[in-house]
Amino acid sequence: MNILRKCYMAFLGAVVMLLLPCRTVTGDSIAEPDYSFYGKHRSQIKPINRMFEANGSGGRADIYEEPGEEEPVIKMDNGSVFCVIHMYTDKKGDKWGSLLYDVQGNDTARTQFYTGDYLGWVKMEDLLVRYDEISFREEFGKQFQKYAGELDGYQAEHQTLYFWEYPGSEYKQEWQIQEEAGDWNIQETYRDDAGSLWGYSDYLPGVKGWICMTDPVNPDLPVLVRESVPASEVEEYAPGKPKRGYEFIIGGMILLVSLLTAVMIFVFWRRKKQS
Amino acid sequence: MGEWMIPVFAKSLLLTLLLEEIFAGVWHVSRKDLCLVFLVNVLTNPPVVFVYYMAVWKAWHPLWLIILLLEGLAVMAEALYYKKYAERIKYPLLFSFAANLFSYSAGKLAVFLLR
Repeated sequence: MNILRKCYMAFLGAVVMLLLPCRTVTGDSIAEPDYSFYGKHRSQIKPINRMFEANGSGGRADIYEEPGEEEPVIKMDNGSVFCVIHMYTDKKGDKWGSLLYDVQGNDTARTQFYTGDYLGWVKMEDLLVRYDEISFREEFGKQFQKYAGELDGYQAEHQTLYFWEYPGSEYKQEWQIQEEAGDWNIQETYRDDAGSLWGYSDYLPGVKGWICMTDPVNPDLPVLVRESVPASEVEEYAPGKPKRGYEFIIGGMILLVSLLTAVMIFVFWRRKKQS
Repeated sequence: MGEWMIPVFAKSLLLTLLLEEIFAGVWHVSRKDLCLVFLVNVLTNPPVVFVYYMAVWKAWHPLWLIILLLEGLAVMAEALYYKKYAERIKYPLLFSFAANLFSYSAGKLAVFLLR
């Protein structure tokens, strides 16, 4: 097959496929939802990145293709948990949250926390804010004390420590300390009702959370059930400074992979060319 | 952004590698050039996907222009590698453009069929 024929076939194929009506595909081969709404309403949109729970009237919450539309495109069952990525405030002052979802059956949206093939919008009034570290700080922040070195001197080498989302949370991150722990980077502490002392540690980029300083290596600390709060009762969904961490870690990893790959190509292909 | 990004990146990279290798096979490149296509896409795909998600996350706009620039840079970067290191890819820029267009379009077809 000569070069012109190959180009022609590739061009034809691309034209046919580009005319197909479907969601946007971008970035080499990423099938992604349509974010065109963002372009038109940039100034009214802000990032949230927080977990919410559906709590619509009638047992289901409506998901719309765009804020302000009259008819929803799909519904999700109450109790569905997902990340609200961005929030949009319309001209009437109503708040809308964007989420990613998949379709289950014909008319039910299935959420998987952070991912999904479709982008939709839901009214914030139909949501509950899942209790998280921000909620914990809002509720107990006044009881925080300054760190007084309670964990300094703890022999942590070769131990697995647990960083909890908040005291009493079910979510934890484990981290094995290889050698000396170094600076725990704890600024504030909290003593829970059972008398355990906790410290919030910003230990490493991507490794942070609450350490139970009373029992730092215990993965089975008691979980305290905390109620989700109606979104309408929360004044600020994303208070405080924007969290920076993961994008730098992921960006750094990607840069490293790209550099290593470039070096590999240079070493192996240059060697072959020389030979 | 968080650890959920990692499977998204992996899925995008695997799909891209599969489609571009298929395209390279149809183009009748040599085996060594197939390996080069593989590595070049490992080099370019993750940064493209990362910057795309950053653009969505930060609500940078217009998004279509950002995508166009990203894809354009990826095509140019891949073409440079093919020009410098490929054995039998005679028209590196054309090959790079066609391969990326194919992987973009085939992905769209896959989405359409699986809808």
